[in-house]
Amino acid sequence: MKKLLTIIFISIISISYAQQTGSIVGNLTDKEFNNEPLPFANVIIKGTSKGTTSDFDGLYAIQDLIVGTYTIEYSFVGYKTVEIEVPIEANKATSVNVSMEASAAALDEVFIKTTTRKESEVSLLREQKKATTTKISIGAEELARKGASDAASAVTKATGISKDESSGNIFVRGLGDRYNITTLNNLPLPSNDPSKKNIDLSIFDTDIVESIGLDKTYNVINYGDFAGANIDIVSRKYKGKGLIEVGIETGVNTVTIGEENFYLNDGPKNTGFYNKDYPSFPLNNYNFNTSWDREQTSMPIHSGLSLKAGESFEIGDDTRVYLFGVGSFNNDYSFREGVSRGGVDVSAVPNSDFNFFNYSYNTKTTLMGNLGIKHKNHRLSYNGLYLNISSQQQKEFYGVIDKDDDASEGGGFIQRAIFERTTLVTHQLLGDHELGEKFDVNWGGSYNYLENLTPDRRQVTLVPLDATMPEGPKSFKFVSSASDNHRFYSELTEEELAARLAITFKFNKNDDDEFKGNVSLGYNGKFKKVTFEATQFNFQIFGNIPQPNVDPYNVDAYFNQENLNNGLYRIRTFRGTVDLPNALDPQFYQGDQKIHSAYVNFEYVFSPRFTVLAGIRGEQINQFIEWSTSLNDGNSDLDTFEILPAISMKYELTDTQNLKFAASKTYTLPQYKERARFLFQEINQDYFGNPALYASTDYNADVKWEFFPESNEILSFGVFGKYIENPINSFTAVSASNDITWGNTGEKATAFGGEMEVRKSLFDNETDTNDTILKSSLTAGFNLAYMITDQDLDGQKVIDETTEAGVPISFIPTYDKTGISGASDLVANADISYFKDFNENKNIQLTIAANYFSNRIFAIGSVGKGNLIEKGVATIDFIAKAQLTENITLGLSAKNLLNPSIERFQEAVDGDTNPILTDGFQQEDVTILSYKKGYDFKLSLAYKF
Amino acid sequence: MKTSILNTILTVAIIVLFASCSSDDGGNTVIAASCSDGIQNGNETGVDCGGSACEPCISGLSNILIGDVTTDVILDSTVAYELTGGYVIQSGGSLTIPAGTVITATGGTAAYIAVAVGGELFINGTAASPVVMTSGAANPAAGDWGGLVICGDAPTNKGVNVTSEVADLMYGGTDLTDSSGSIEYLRVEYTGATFSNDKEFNGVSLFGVGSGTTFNYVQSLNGGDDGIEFFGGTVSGNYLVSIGSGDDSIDFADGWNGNGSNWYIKGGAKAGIEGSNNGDNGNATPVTTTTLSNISVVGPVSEGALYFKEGGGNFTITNFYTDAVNLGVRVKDTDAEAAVRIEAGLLSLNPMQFDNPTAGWEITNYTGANQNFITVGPTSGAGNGAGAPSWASGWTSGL
Repeated sequence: MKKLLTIIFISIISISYAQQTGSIVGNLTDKEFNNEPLPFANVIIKGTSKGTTSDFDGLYAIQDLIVGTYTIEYSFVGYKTVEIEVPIEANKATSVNVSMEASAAALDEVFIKTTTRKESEVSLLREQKKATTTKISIGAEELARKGASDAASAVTKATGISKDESSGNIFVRGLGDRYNITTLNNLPLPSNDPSKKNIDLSIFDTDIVESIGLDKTYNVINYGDFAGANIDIVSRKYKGKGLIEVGIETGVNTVTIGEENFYLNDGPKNTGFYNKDYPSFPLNNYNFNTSWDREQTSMPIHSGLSLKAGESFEIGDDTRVYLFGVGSFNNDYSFREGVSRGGVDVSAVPNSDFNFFNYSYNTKTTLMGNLGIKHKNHRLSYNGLYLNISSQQQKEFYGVIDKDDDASEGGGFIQRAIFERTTLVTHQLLGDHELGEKFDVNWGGSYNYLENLTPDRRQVTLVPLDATMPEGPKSFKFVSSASDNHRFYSELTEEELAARLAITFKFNKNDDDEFKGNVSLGYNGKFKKVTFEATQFNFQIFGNIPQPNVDPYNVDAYFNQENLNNGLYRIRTFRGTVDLPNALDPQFYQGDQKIHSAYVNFEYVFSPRFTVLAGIRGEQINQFIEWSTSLNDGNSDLDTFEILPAISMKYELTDTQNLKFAASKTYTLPQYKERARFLFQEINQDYFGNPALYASTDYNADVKWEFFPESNEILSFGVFGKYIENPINSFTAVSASNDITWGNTGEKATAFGGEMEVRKSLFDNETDTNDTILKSSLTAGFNLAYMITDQDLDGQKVIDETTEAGVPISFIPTYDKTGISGASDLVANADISYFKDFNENKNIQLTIAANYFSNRIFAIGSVGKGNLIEKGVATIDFIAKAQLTENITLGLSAKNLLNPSIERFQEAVDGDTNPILTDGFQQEDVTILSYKKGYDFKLSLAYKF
Repeated sequence: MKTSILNTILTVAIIVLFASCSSDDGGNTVIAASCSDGIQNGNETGVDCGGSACEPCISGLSNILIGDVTTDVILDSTVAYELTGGYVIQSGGSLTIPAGTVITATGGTAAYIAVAVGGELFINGTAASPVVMTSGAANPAAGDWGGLVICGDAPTNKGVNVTSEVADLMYGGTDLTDSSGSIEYLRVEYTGATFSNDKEFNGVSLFGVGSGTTFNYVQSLNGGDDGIEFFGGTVSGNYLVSIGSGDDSIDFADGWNGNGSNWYIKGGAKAGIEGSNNGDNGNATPVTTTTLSNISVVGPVSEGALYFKEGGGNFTITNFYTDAVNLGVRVKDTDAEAAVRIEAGLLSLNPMQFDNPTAGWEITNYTGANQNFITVGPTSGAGNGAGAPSWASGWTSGL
């Protein structure tokens, strides 16, 4: 770390000692093709190795040219090479636009070594520099270099972003799931988890990603349910010549492979395509035909297979067609072993205390296809995405279930056999039409279907027959609750239609024939229907009669027809037994969410250096939910109209430096699960929703300074502030059952912070050989965010608001004021990578990437108990990629090299405490979760035909 | 080459399209509720009536108990009442149930009778004809329905305005003499529907109920969880019977400051009596403080005749008779607050009798210095030792 800091320090010094330079920029167009932008053309300073390629929009730039006159050579396969003399002046950008025409010459002229696509770091950085907003994009190239195999690890490489390992949640400047929005091609995507707003980004393999846009400031073209970041996944398009690539991969995790016996359970197949209905007449007889018991399985070695194909071609003179398809299947195994405790009281004694073992097998199947057609000034594209992800788990907990009751001295056994599967289907149709010079129409429509199934989850709870002999025989006799042994079936479906339309009018041309202003009018709408149904079969044990001893690994010997006939247990749902005609009616919640919004956005270049983007958006939000659950039946309607202004300003201090400012008002909606009266049961904790929840209001402001010393370098500093009215938090409701729920827990929350990012090219050499240019480079990047968060907690406010809504919920916070859940004070990322060409088809890329976040609040403490804190960890990954021949690429990664222990603890109370609490506060820290993930090694091979 | 790639991609697109069309055929699909299927489902409040979709239920179905009581309602002992959902006496409302009334309940966790703070319940049973609340199932079993939940405005050490464990009501205030009505000669049977391990109905749950309330001659029979439980409050309970409870027989916690006499307990799965202060903070105030007398606990018990738990409290118990128990008083060795109270002499049982002790019998598992808080001696307990006391005759069942 010290070394890296030194390198960064030296880099900053070297920037300030740079010579007087200027730059050249321009636009390449295709004379043969209606003067459309010409991407991927080479722009080289004759007689040097310095150069670049035009981006997808035909734009190019070469920075840091020492003052003088240069001959620039423009070339493209099959086109005439053009040479132009260009004078470069200090601190100025010389603009040269070239229209290239086809040559009759043979195609052997130029070999394009670096195929710069839209996903290249350089072109994305250029886009960032140009933009008025502070949006950043992470392209496929950067993702590959930093070893990000999926979108989740990708976004955590950006400034101020961290991920919670246990939940997969992304935190942006300390703001968690509810404050972020995830879209695919700017159209909404459903979450794969009923409790969350955002889809798990790790579902998106970088294979199917062209770039990931990350906007930490608000722009009125986006939905206003935002305060952290808008994460837009741009699906990959293929614009080159025919491609077929086959990839295989394999890997191991040291923790998993070290486990002699790996266990899963009955049911699911290897492919992850599995479902299981409950049997007919489940309450009359023991008709279940899957085993309760764990099963030993094969060696836990990961594997993966993928096939990619792409092509683009022309039809006639004016039409170009792009095609890309990818299909892949991956699986992996994981094993966790650690300590899990719950219900720590004020005396720092946990109520439950387990050693746990969690075996899991996960699969992911992806199919994505897209088709793009470009005809003159019209672009039309279709994206189809099919995802199937599954996770099969065998969870085992051994120890004290309840220190005063079940297995009070230890020896309790809880097992859960889980299979969870999510299928997502997305169809998107997108269009863009330039109508004349001044009008642009951009539209999109999507249909999303998501299904999340948990079939046949089985939970077993056994306690020692004699509590004082934890190692003695176990039985169901003294298990406290009928729901402790159960089978559970649930199905969540979400269907969503979304549409967007934007019309942009450009006006007021300047001397260079560029429009100085544009105004956009737009509409966005999304209409979602959510249905969640669950049926739980509780195996009610009769504790007042003699019960046999049960082997925890042979529960099938107990739960069978014979013991049912003997009256040892009974099967019932929350509604009742077989005697009740509606006993099999599922518990459910369902709802409709309708959002209509319209906006106007105005952008104007007031002076060549000063641009303002200002807009206002109105959103009509209706969220209706109804439920019938074990808790009760009811419904709740949330109706609100939000007026959301936003402004962004950019002032170009010099050609290479920008000062940007943004301010906006946004809102944060509660999630469906958080408003549904449904009791979600985890092993150590239950959760239920609060129908009285309502939207928070967010005010956001950002100031950022950016400096782009070279096309592949950036240095930026920023400060931000957030003010959130009526923030939503989860907390433990004060009652005998200690369930977690959600509430608008205070008047306000605030977050202030600073961010910095530096990306520096340490060396970048090009050697001209006879037939190609060989590159070698070393680049380093570092980013850091520091923030201070604070929020009020007001128990009486929650009681008053929920009582008024007829759903009284009691909240007695330990603290008067505390930080925001999920906010680390410090989040930092660093990477260094080395690239070298050996010959035209042989190169190697080595990257070391590191990440750190400091302690953060996981859940807020109540009634004298401290906050739950997630311990900060540092991780280091090593990624190597080697292209061996024209066709073969080999990858090797070694991740989690520090293998830190993942820990959560309930902290000793220290800070501004609630004055109504007079009976004492927790005095010591207690670890409540602890495990290690192990080292991950992965080997991959890709063959390109 | 070009056509083969095109084919591949078209295939992918077709699979995607196909998958989206066929993806709703899996899962545990259950036929949606309709207003003509002859059963109460969806969010209907009666068979094919009420809820969001169906016509309102006809008020002629007057034997159905469901919804809120906001006025003064008096039931009729000649009507066979059916409890099919939550029946909640709201603040300002009252419900009077005359002697001999029988209410049968179906619906698991959904079916319960609750009294909100400010509401009043008058159960006017007699020894000859008690009020009975029982399961409507053909083969009744513990856990068939919720139970009776009473919320009052008296103090609890959980705080002011606490959410009840079940029935989603608030309770707990500062009114020591608050009244939730009067309950005499009541039998509740097959209660204890379960949400989760921590969220279960007791036979009768008294949340912060004040001393202005009368609570005498109440029996829980075959409840799935505790028979009768006091969560804070100042109400006293006399002539209580708990038979065949799935958990503890009679339980008090969270700063209960009431007294009890003549409790007859038999056939419970766990502790005879469980007395605790506060599960989150053994020192929470007000501390559970009680004087109990004339108690019979007929074993077996698995957590002691008395479980002094979660800080315990200040208990003075006289005439505590036990039969067939293996442990008199249970105290967890890690419960520091409970130990402090025992050492300070705040727990006393005198006399306590052990008839027919079972294998491995101990007076207590407490290992601290003070071993004199139990004085062993003869007593008739609730009146007749292990036998049914005379005050229980007529209105109870299963003794």
